[in-house]
Amino acid sequence: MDILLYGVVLFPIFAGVLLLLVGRELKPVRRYAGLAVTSIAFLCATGLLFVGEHDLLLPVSWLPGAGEWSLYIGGIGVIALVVTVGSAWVTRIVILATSTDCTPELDAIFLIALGSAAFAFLAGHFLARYLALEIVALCVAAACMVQLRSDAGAQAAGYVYLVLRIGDAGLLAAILLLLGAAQTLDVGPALQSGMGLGAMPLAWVVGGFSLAGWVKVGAWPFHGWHRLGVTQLPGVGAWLYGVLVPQLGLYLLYRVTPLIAFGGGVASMTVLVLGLVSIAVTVTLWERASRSVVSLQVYGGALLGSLGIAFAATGFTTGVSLLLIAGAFFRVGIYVWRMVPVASTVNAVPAAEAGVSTPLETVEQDALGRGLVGAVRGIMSGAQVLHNTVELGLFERGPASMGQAVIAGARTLHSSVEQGGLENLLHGTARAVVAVSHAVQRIHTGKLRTGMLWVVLSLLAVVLLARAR
Amino acid sequence: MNMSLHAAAPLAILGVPLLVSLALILFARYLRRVSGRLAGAAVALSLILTFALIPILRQGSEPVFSVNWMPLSGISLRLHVDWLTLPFLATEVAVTLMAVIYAWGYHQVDERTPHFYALLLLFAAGMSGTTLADDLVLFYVFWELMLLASAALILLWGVESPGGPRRERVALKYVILTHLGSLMVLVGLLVLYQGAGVDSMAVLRAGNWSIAPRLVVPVLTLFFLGFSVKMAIFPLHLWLPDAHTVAPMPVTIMLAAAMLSMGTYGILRFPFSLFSMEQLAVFSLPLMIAGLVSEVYGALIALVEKDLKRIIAYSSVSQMGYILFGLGTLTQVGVTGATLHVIFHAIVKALLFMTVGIIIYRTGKRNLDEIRGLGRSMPVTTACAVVGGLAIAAVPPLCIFDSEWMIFAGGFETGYIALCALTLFGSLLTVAYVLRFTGRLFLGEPLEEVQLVRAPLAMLAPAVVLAALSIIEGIFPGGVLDWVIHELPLLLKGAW
Repeated sequence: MDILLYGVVLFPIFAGVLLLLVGRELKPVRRYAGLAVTSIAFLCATGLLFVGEHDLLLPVSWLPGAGEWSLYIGGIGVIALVVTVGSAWVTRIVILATSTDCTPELDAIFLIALGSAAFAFLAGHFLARYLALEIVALCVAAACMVQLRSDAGAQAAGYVYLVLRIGDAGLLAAILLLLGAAQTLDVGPALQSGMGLGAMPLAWVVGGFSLAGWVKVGAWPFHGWHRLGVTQLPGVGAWLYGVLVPQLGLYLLYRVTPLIAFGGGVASMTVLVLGLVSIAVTVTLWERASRSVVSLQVYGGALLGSLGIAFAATGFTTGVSLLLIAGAFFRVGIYVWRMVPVASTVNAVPAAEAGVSTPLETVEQDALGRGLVGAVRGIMSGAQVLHNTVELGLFERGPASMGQAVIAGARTLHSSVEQGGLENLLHGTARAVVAVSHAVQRIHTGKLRTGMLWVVLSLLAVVLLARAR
Repeated sequence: MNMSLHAAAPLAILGVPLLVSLALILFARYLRRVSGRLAGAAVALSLILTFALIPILRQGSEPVFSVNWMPLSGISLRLHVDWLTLPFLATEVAVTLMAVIYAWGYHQVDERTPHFYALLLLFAAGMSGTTLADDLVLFYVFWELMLLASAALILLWGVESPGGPRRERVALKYVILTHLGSLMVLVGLLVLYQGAGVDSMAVLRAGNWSIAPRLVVPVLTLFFLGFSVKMAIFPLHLWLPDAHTVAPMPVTIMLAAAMLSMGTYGILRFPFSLFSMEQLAVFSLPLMIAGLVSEVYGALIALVEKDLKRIIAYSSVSQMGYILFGLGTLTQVGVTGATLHVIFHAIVKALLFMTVGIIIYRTGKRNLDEIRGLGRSMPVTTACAVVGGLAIAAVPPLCIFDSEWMIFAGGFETGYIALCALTLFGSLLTVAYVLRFTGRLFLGEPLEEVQLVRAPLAMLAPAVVLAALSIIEGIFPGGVLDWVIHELPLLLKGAW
């Protein structure tokens, strides 16, 4: 069993890293190497079907309180793994058969995503699954960047990654709440403990898991990233966006369906209603879209996702598992149909979608997509306003203005009171004192004394004359 | 004076940089060409001695060095190392070493070079002394030494950008605002001194002090506000963007990666070590809300800023918000996560500033609108920046995911689910500005033919080391986590 696990999880990842490092030197054999690795992974995945149900404890304890990782081999997980890896194998055959160009980076991304997804299907521990899903999300965004190779491609990759992270944020919130309740992140016991949560925490858990699954299955209103990848990225990219991530999303929904549907409370009902709305909107959008295999791939895939959400909300695990298995055949079938040259006339991206100049414009083709992109632009504008008014206006210029006002007031005080008032008073007083001092000095030095002498003598003379009369 | 082999270690950790700094000032003329290497050697020795303390601490010993200074006033000068000191001391010394090595390539040797490195060492000594100090007087002295040395570096070696503020103004603003925080801390320290009768923190830790119950909340408020200024929590962050932008890059690295952590250290050393859970409980929700606001605000502003250094500076405001949020949970896992975040943030922030510094050095530009598509022409820097960006966006298995996981786990434990969910979803803004930053800088087609200057190895090597550390510490956080876990019994009077 260990060899089978290495073959389906670690081998593709290592091969992908190797291709990334030396892929350019292996150009003649690279596409065959990709097919060979995928074939081995497919065989190993198929081999796991015959192993029987197993709980395998891994000697990995990463974060405190998270416990040791585990794998669960058996049940729907292995079947979903087999059909998904099988779809990857078919994809490699089609790429080889149609001579679709595939760079070493893209091959590497394909294989690393495949190995990580295999781990996600088998993980019996929520943190391990989260890690694997994050790596897949990075690969998905990187594929967009590598295949489109432009500023628009970088922008689209950022958009895709951000949307996928929204789902992962919901998943993380749900996981952490379960950790608090269950003190373990083993999927089974954690979900069991989650059913003992109070109404409010349970609602948050249900919301978190639902959001995570919703984004990953590419259901309306989170179908924009899915449509972008399916319409703009041929070959490997279309498989990643159109098959792999939605399969992971459906499997996540399958595992947490018992909790989402538990008790039929307000949270579950809300998810059901929203799921039904998503179905209705998706069908409406499909009606309005052009009749093409691309529309089938986009909206058919989104509809499968919406159905998965509605089934999960009602606790219909069989329905979710059917979507997981049959849906994989549908998705890969559509993919092959698009890639096969004989059907190229119907495989062409419809004019309405082909007329877009940037990948992000595929997102804006419906009102909600425009709304979502508008919301992002709104956040950016709001941040700019915040920056200008609060940071620059209030905090930077505000204190500076206050400081300038204080300085101006101080200057006024300085000129009017300090200099004009007190200083002048001081100077005037000093001058008066000096003047008096000079006057006294004149008396002392004789000039005033001489003058005063004449005044006194004159007065004496006047008095003597008056007496003489 | 109490001197033993164990006592020599903290004295040497502090004394070697101080002595070398003094030598650089006194013999500047003769040491011009070797001043960088001398400074590096001094800090490297401090780092070795810091790690040498780990086995001593594991044996249960806590090295102490003390001098009776003013016995009649109950004032002694004490240095002390415990498990709370170690993570912060190690972080600060390691970041300083990286910054000094970076400076070898960044700083152009001239007649003032010895003084530059002397002030860097004084800055480092201020931070080391703050963490090693075991009495209130020494703590405050080194606390202010940090400020003065860094302000002098900004004033004398600051790099003004066109249309930006002058370095004299920036240094003055930095001193005034940070000093206001220091004064609040000083008042708190004076109240503690009055309550204990001596300035020994050992006496305070032993519980041999008391203050009037009505003073508890005001003193704690002063401590939290004063240390929050150093942490640059919104709206007390005003000094940070300009200081980080104008300061020479090695100083910026030390400011962002090491000095900001001193605020966290102060909160752990005083409010969390000397007061009980019940006394701190009233501050829990306000701290969490303040952390959330700082996280979101810093990320929003980073999202729209165009100057490369300012983007990373506001990122620091946001990341400090996570730390304050974690501290505010008052849970074992939340506080552990917050302390871990200090260390991991130091690694990643130093890495990001180094890569920004390399870009500015090589292109001569610092505006995001003027630079594009550097990925092909600067592959090593691109790889380092991408690792740093992914790390700060909390992508597993990189280091910051580990600490954020613990912070959020602590948050959900408090029962404030909506608040914690907001904080968790607020982290998406971090993803957004990282995508903008890395996408514009490294992806797409270059705007124009840019003449790139070759970057010295001394600038690249530390960045590569820190990038590797971000990955290794993320996958194997056990070692650092072990240090942090040992500090928990020292907090909240052993409530956990």
